Amino acid sequence: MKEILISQFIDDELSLPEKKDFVINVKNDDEFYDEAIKFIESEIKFIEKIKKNNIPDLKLKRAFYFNYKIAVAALLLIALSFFGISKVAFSPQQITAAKNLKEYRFVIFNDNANKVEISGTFTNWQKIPMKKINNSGYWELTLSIPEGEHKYSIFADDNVLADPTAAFIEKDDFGNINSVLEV
Amino acid sequence: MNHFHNFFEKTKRGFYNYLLSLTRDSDFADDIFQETYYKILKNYTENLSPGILYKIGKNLFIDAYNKNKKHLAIEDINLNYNNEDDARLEAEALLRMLEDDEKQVFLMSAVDGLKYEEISKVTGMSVANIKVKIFRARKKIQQKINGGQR
Repeated sequence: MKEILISQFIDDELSLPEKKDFVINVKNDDEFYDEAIKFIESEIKFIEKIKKNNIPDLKLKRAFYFNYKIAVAALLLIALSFFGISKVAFSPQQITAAKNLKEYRFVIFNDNANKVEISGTFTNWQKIPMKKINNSGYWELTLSIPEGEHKYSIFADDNVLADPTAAFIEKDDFGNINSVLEV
Repeated sequence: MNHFHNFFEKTKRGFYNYLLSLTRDSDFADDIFQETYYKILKNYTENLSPGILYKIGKNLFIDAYNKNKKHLAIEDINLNYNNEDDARLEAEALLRMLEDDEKQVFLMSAVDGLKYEEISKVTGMSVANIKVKIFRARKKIQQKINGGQR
């Protein structure tokens, strides 16, 4: 099992006596030398392969991918409407709304502001305060919003912040910067 | 704050490759990647640990896999697979040969650059055990790379 020394050598994990062992083995044992070279070469190739994979940026904001509660509620409502239960106290609008609502999480980084707010087409442009995540400088808010395109702005102490993670940014007729979101 | 970003920078490459090898799908891996760091940011900023990172990521993968199992058609997976970049497929294929715990400790060491002692702290495994697991992982990869294509 002296091969394990090669693995420790690659990881810089040899103690001094093990280093001595390693060097002696490389000198005296041709097979060990060949193995060591093979291990190191394969490590180089492996790391090269790993480095070719692009690592995503941290974009904590996105639609939840398991929207279970809403899906179940929508199914239930659809089922009820199929059974023709006319006395159920849901109006047709509520059924459509439940079907098309999606939970969306907004997260933005700003460690200078004392308060961060969001307003958009889904809030009738009312400002809603976002919550600080621990003391990390990140602010978050999860909202149920209808599917479709939305415009919104985020305010840090009343200054507009363009959301760096938004798909599009556009200027409105009043010169404000809006971020655009597709749910 | 910097604490969290340093942690992210240090762990992202190993962890993302781990998720790719589990999911075989970059969108799926990306979803779990984002969700895991979000959970860390929410609940573990006082105790940032690659051990917790891998544990959360694996659990999210298992949950998502179970929930979506019915909808996954085998043809879709193959289709996805063939369209992937060759180089990444190779790295993923190599990682898929490893046992899950071998894969985690190997990525923490070889890709994220953690010392055996640190890995021991975050996983609860002994240093001797970690040494052997990393060696086994490395040996499998080495044999595959040098064994050539069949």
